Amino acid sequence: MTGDTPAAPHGDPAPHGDPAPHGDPAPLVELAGVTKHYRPGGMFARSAAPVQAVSGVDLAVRAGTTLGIVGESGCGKSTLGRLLVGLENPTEGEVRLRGQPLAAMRGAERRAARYEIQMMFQDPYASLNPRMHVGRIIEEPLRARGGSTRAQRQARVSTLVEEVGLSASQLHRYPRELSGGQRQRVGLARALATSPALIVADEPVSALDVSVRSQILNLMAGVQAEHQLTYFMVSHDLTVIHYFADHIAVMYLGKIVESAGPEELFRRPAHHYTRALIDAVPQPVAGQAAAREAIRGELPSAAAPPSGCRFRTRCPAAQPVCAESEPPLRAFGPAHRAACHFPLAEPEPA
Amino acid sequence: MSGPAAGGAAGDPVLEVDGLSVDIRLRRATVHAVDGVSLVVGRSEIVGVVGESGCGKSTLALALAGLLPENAVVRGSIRLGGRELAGLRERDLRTVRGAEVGIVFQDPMTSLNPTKRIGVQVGETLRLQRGLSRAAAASAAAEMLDLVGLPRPREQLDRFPHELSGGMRQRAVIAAALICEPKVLIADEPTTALDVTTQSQILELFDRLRETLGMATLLVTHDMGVVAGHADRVFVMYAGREAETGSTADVFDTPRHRYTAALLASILRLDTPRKQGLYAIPGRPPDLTAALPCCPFAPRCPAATQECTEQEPPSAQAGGHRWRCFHPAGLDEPAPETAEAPR
Repeated sequence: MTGDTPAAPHGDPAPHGDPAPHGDPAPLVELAGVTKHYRPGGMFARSAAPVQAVSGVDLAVRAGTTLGIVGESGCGKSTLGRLLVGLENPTEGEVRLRGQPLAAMRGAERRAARYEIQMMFQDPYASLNPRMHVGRIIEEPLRARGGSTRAQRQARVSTLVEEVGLSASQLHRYPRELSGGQRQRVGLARALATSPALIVADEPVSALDVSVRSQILNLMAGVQAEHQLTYFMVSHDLTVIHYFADHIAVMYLGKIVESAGPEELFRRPAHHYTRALIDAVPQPVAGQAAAREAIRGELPSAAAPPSGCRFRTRCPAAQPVCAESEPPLRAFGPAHRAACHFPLAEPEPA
Repeated sequence: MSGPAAGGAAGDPVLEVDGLSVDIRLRRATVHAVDGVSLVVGRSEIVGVVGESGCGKSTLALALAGLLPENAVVRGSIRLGGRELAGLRERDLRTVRGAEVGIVFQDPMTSLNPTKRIGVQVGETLRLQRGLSRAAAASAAAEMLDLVGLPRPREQLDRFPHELSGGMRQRAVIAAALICEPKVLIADEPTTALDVTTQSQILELFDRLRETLGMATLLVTHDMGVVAGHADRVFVMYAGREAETGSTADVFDTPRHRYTAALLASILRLDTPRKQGLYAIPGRPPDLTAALPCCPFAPRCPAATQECTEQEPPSAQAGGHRWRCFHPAGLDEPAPETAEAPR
């Protein structure tokens, strides 16, 4: 279905992502020109326009690092995660693991790749089988993969339980008997079971209290360092992404509008949408409401995105040209890209 | 214990809660969800109630909204505009709800009836409480939708909840809560399910509405950032009890209770050093069915001593800033007795 789509449809010098230092191998995972359209179901499906959840996304994630994706709900960030773990197939473009397109893999290779990319969800309660006890939940991916004895799996489960800070006595508990933080630990242990190279973490701490959130983020960082894990972390919370990610991509209505390292992105955002997201973060300082007035309006429909720049309908700096042509992706620094006709920062000379 | 006027309420108290306790009776145990809470919310004032999940803040909100389940036992007093609500029968409470107390919960989808049009739901209380005609209620609903910032309010009247985005739905819920111009708005995690951009729009809306309508707002949230930017005063709750209360500036700038200090220390900020490890409060909030030590935070507290578990911590006060702790943060030991601390 895919595999023959050319990469980098923007004709851009480099895709969004942390550029590999000279001589480094290919990125662990890449998305090249990935597009995902959904046909609405129901009576009028034939006449309705498809929902463009993801449109021409190029991204690269280096092994051992965290790529953070931020954006509002409905921007397509969770769809990106689902495309990576293979819960969805791209309409166009391809997902590559160590340079190999997932769609071109067959048989054993395909199966192996599937266990190399695992997922952690926002609400572990909804994603853990309520009828299985903790030990069985963590064991499940190992059983599914096959090729192991019961004793081997149980030894692995014991190691994992200890690694995520649960006690052996919790192995026989059911998800409903655990706190939110403990459930998220189970979710991480399950994701780690097959020793994946990449974990897609979709809002891993959004449902948790501040204190538990710190515990889980510390745990995720520890596990990452221990196993050279790569995270693809999706969140609407900029403080979490700023803290955790090595590189950040900002998504709006199916497109990456800006990407940069965390310090650079927060110090020198180029896109007005990035600026608006940063300004909307509530600061825990008395009397300090959001830094500026909130951006107006709502995310437009992904079935009928605005022409030109998709953010123009809410952008304070929009001009007629923004409706006429899509802004090209430009470089604003070594690993800093943004697509805006009237950027907040000075682009590098072409 | 200090009287309900402590905590530095604004001059014109609208909601006065005094010694409120709520026990939830379960089959084998009783949850002491709220334990002796006293607080005041004045006209045009926003008071933030903060704490971790399971600290009793949502039960407090339900109690004030008169929406506790049947197995709840309430003690103490809730006065609204001078009228006692505790002990009112369900029929009388229903009159108060909607007319005098507006309620907004976290998930707008659960507050809205999916089969009824927005206009009907927003105007419903006006028809029930004031006997307005369908047309008059619809017209008032459109006006209120306009006030809360829904574009093209007339068109929205005929839409169903699923046709609106999350932010729009929460605006519709707020419009329904405010349609009778209540004296008090109880908002329990009103922006938790929303994006940051929508969140700041809704919080700006609260700021604007308390100015124009003068309502007293109780903002229950686990997000200290939301409280810092929008509340006049903060009420920090732990194990169903008051840990600390005071002006937002007092509580955020000079937290005294060790729980408040720990909560503030575990917040992620945009200036938190990246990847250096985050402070996390050890342990978990206590099981509220069990007997607790005198200071319920003692088992998790870095400064706890034996007296914390054996004696009631003293209530200390500085102006409108009040805390109950043997070892308050930022003060030289020994901790001041119940006397006024210097400001």
